[in-house]
Amino acid sequence: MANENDNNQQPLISSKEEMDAEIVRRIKIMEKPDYDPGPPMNKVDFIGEFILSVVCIIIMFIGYFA
Amino acid sequence: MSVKDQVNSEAYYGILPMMRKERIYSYWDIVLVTGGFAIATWCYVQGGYVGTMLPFVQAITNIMCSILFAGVLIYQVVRIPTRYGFDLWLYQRAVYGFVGATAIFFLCMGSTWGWEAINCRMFANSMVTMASAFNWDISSWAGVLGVFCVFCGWLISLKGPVAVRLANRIMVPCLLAVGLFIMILVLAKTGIKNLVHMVPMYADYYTGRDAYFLILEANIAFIFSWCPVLGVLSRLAKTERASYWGHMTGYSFLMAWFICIGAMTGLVMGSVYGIYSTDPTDWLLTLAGKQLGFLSLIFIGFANVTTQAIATYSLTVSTKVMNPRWNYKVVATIWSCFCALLVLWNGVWTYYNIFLAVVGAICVPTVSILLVDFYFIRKKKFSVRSLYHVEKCNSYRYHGGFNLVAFICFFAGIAANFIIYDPINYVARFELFNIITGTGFNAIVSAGLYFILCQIPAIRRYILKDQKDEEKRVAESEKMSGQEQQV
Repeated sequence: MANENDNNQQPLISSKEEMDAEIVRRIKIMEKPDYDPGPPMNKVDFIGEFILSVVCIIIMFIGYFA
Repeated sequence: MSVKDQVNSEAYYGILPMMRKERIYSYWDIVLVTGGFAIATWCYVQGGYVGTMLPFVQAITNIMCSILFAGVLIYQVVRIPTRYGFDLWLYQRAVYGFVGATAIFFLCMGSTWGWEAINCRMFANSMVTMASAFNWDISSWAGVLGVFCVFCGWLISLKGPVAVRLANRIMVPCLLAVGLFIMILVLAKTGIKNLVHMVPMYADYYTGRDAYFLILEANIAFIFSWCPVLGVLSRLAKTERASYWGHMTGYSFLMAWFICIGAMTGLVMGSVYGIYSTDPTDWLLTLAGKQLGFLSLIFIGFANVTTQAIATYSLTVSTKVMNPRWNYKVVATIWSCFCALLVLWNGVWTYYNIFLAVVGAICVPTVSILLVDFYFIRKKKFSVRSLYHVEKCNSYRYHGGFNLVAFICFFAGIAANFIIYDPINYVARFELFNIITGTGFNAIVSAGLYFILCQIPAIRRYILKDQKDEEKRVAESEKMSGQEQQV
């Protein structure tokens, strides 16, 4: 859901043609090599996911035999 | 801006790929919004149900760890909308085909409305209980009262996003207050030591292993039922990290915490008072007495109406993402009528086990196939133009708009689920259920079959047509720009 800020920044799109044109414009920007989509998840996140999974499995085992 | 303009704006911007600078949600924003939606009375229904079957330690470890563990896998999908800026349902067009994605969307969405029917039934129960405090028996009007909740939610949702956001700000503190109040009451009445040694009401019906895995199945199905709304907020998250861990905290940790409160209370109600109830209105009157219980019921009643408003608004805007030209009010009305029918039928409440099994069976292959498709088959390469069907790019037509391979895997997953688990009699059909659960088997079969089928060259070409089309398009556009430069 977009918020009010987006609505203030951009004109209201009300037809399919306008929307398609806007979609293509955005896709072209995103395809540019200098476009930055933001930092991806890194090693620390994956280690966190791994540790969380292992801890959950161990606790489920403990709970099961409790 | 009128309500229609506001809603259309949200739906249109709901379909546009969001640029990085337009993304507004930090980790804490995601936590607040997802937590606000997740903490509803359905947590108490689920928790109360767990508390009748498992003792305290097993219930808490099962709820918390199964929901967090399933979350680690499920929320891998939210990285897709965060990276590319579009709703997950648009990516499903690559998986199921242009028409197939809409079919799967309505299947998932239709089952999700069962939760809203439960919410409205809770509202009706709290009204009936309040009236009975004044010796006024309106139990025969429960269905009508439930529909009244649907109607109120629909009415607020028609006022647009501003009214819905206001409702959210009121609802979350109400439910947090009720949750904390119930937790304090339970701990004050019983004490943690007694709670640990309490025997659940239906302990004799199942062996420890059966009960543990049946609850594991229910919890995993519960968390998978978020799948229709996972792309809504994640496309607005500033970073993948904020999106992933925000969803994990809101939809998994906070929700699990409230289910644990429900489980504690269900356990106390069953083993101390001998009352089987998954309804917090019963708990509040039994544990808190008439005055405090009555006050809490007002909170619950009000929170249910606002939950309904938020759900109607969010699910309607999500539906409009499939086709922004659909009229917002018409879509909201159709979904509300569907919800009202579910409330009047009362089947979701009566056959809660079956409902959970159906939601899980549908949502599990939806997420599993998507993950395999994105990470292992397409390896993050796909045609965004074909997803939007712009510039004559239409790689996701497959067969009449349906990717037959994905549909075969989808139904194979559902079949696998019900082969090893019987939700009607609520028993495992095979011992395998007590190792990986029905939903786990569903995920392995659907995702595994999809991965294996995609290794067959003919099927691989059929699925990865987009990559060939994209190469052609790039070559043509380079040729065109070369010709333009010569001219």
